[in-house]
Amino acid sequence: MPRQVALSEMTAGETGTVAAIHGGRGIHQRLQSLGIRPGVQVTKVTGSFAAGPIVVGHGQTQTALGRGICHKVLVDIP
Amino acid sequence: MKRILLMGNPNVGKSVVFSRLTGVHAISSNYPGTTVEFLQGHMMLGDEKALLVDVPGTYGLEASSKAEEVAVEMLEDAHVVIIVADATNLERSLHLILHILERDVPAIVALNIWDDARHKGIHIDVEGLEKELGVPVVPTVAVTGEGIRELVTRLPESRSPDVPQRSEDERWQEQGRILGAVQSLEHRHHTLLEVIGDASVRPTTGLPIALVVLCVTFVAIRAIGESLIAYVFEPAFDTLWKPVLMQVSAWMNPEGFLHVITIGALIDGEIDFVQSFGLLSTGLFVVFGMVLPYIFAFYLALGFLEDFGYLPRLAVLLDTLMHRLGLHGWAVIPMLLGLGCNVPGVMATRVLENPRERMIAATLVSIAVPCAALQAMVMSVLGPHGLRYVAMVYATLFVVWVVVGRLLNRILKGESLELILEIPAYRLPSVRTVAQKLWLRMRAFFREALPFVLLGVLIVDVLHFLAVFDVIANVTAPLFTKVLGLPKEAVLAVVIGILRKDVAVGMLVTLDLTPKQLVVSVAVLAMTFPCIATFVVLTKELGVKGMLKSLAIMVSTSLIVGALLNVIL
Repeated sequence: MPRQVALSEMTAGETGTVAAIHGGRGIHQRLQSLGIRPGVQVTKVTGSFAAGPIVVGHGQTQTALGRGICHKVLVDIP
Repeated sequence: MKRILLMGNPNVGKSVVFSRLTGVHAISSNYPGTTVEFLQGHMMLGDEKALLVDVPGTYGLEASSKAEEVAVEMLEDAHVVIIVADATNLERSLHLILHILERDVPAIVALNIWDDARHKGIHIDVEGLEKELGVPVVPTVAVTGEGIRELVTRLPESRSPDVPQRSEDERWQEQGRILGAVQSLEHRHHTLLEVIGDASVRPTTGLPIALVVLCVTFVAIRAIGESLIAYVFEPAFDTLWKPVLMQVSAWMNPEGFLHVITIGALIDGEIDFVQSFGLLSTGLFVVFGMVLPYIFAFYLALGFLEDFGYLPRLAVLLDTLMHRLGLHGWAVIPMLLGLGCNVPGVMATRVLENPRERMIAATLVSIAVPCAALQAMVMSVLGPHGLRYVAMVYATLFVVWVVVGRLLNRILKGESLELILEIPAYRLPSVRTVAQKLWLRMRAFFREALPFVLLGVLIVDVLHFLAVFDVIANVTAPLFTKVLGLPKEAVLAVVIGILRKDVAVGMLVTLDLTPKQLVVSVAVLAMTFPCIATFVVLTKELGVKGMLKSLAIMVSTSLIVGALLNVIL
């Protein structure tokens, strides 16, 4: 069943499409320049441990994102 | 002179391309942010000599970070831009390429890391890409030099295509269109390096791996350092250099000023390379016989870990811990560099985003991160008394690192920013780049250390000869004897520590201290005033006010901790 969750709520190994990014211009810009923007397919590579960062794979790269940022990235899971 | 810019995303091998083009060796690493200060060198453009500038790595031209601001500024008066793109991550490189092509500057694209792209099953139609972009595109493998000659030959073909100004959204669309037209991916299984890459960043497997990596690194550094000392440098000093010095010594009056300065004191009629304290005896021995082997081993290990791509993964794993100190995971970079030398450690705090983080990180590096020179001396001075004494020093510094970090996090206003960090794929480092980087760092060590060590030894000798030390020692005697439980002469080591920490530890040896006193004095020495070189960069990075604050923290902490150690031990 299709659903929308925050990046932080995805389970490791799950893949989805970024739907929206909440937050200020700064965060938008930094994520966008790294290639994370609405419409991009992301796969959660690792879960987090003790509120640590989450690693997501997108395209040919991986990016580590702090926990707080992951709450702000919404992902559509097919 | 014409200015050629070298631009690209962080971690695409830009610095390696730079070193290939100029012959000047620039440092490049498998993580973003090394080139904070830009490098420049010369290269030939046709028959003309041109200036090549290695611009800090950027993701776009939005000027959202310091590095991007610098890049945008430099673009104003450039004649040609060489854009270094990552063939394994064309999508993101395209973003920057499209951005730059909108500017009115002739450009050429070096499609770097071409070999990895092939291995990963990424096929890029180079001719198609040239047509789409309207500028020359040359596949390159900078680490081996493949394609660099063609890049230089085609440099005159660079041009500025007629591209409309696009909005951010239009740019993304265009980028997606080009990518779809020129790139095709072959489906294939994960390579071993990718599997290890994922395992070492996943907490459950990553933390044990990190522990193993750090232990192996530590053991390897010790093994390399000690073997070099035991089999190369000590025999060389004892069998080759000592007879020469003894001969020189015989020509001079052993009590005379010249003898004191050059050879130092004879101990039981012999030169003792640790205790004699002459320029040609202890001065040279500290640099070559005690510190150099460990510096070499440390930078060899660090260079390998950097180029392999391990450090960003370590940053992810340690992010939670670092947040407690008001920093995020990427602050492990200044800390690790600080273990080699505090100067690059403090300079690397620039990879952090805000002044608060830089203040905390720079203070922690200078107070609780012992440089390799200091560590080498601690090892050789305390090691023979038992490894538990060495462990005491490290444990003390670690506790201070955590406690001071937590306090600063409480006291300084603001919060710590969150980690956003690219995790590069593991790459087997090329011997050439690791060797190149090692050489650069060793050269920096020599330039820094040799003159200061010799100056330190010289000052000690002169002050000794003039009996000035006794005056200073008597003034500070109550503090040192009562509070720290050290002989009053130990103050001299702290004073010399301002010049060089390794020389200072060397002075402690001549005082005949108990192991406990050595632990206290070495810990105090490590924490108080940073050495002069660190002091200078600290002032540059934090400003005079920030530096004074940082200094006050260091001096008070070292006295408190020293007094506590004296009571506890």
